[in-house]
Amino acid sequence: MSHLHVPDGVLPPAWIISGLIVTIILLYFAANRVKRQGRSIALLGVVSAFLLLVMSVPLGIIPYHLNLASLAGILLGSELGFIAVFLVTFILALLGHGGVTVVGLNTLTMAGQTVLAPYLYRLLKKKLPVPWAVAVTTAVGIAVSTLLVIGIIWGSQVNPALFLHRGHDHEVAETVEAVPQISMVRFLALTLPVATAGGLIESVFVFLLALYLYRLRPNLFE
Amino acid sequence: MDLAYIDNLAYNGTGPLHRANAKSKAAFALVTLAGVIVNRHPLYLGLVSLGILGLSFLEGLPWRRFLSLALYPAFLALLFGLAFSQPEWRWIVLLRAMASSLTVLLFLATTPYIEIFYLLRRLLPPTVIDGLFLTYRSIFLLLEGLEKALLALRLKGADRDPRAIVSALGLTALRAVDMAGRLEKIMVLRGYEAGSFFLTSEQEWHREDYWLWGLSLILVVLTFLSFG
Repeated sequence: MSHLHVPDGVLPPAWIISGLIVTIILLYFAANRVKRQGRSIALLGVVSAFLLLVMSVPLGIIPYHLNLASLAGILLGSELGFIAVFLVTFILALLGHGGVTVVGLNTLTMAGQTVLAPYLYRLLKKKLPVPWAVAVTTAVGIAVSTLLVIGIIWGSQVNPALFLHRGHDHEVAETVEAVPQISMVRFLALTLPVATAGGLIESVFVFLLALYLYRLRPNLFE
Repeated sequence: MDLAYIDNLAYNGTGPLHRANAKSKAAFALVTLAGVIVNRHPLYLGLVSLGILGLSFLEGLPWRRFLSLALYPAFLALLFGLAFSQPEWRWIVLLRAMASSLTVLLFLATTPYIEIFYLLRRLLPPTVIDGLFLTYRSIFLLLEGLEKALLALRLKGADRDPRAIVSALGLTALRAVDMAGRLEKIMVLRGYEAGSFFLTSEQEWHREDYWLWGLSLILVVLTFLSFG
């Protein structure tokens, strides 16, 4: 994955529920803004469908597929882009691709690319040709997305019992034993090479795709 | 594409679960998922996976194909599982990913997507529900075009050329944008308002619904007992 799908069963329930609540709140916020701006949900539907087609094709045995979330952000804008990311993540989760209970968190991590993309692209477009601006935006977006996943995994390792049971060391010891510990060093060693390779492949692919689209429909990137 | 295959199963299946209404199936799936997420016993997780495969078999669904579809998220979960310090958690994470993936696949293969999206209308804004409907519909329209483009490349012997594949995808993207333009005009013409895609009535209850709720209750009890 050029972004990391967190599977079911890795994160504590509190994180799962919080992720869902935050995502639903942001969806209402985005939908409200889309309605007020009179934005096209027809474009939302077809761009999301296009993302799904591209994302459902894994490349060989490595856990990697293209995602085009940054390109979606550039074409749709932040609000519609956020909704598109949720639609794609949800439908993929229904197919067993990425955890269904962690749809909220997976949406938030992937949306890091989509929400950032329009702003970064507008800045880069002033200095670089459009296909290069899109490719660099994609590379930065994937890095942000990866950092968000790492942050969530790291944050989920913080055991609230350490704060709640001060003065009751035996209770803390029992609770710490019962909570699974992820070795962040091992996690980074396993995922960073895949994420880096995936990010590079995605950026090259997006560059070629943006080159093709810009040649035929330059107005798409305005 | 798996989505088309599973969609076909949902609409054309005739097993008991196909007769149950979407709410009962959703409740069963949620209870199963909740149990899988909170449970740490590999035996419980393994039995849930086997139970779901068994239900798929009784339903006349392709349980072997489900198992192969569940292997991808299991492989992904292994990546996370290998990062755990306690070795037993690697198995737990793997089994959790498999059990939840199989549960969701069973739900999707026995419930038409319209009914699934309709269930979400109480939780999500109407714009998002309409977006789900339009996305799902558009996938099949775009897929047809993409398959033709890829077939054309294969006939020309260019299906391994990355630039040719990018062009095929680019062509699909442009089709998508044009399709959106036409769809937008049709929606305006028909007086579209958010939430107007779904005008369906509540489904009736059948004997299978009571079985599902009973099974859900048993799963809740088993989950609590496994904590004891």
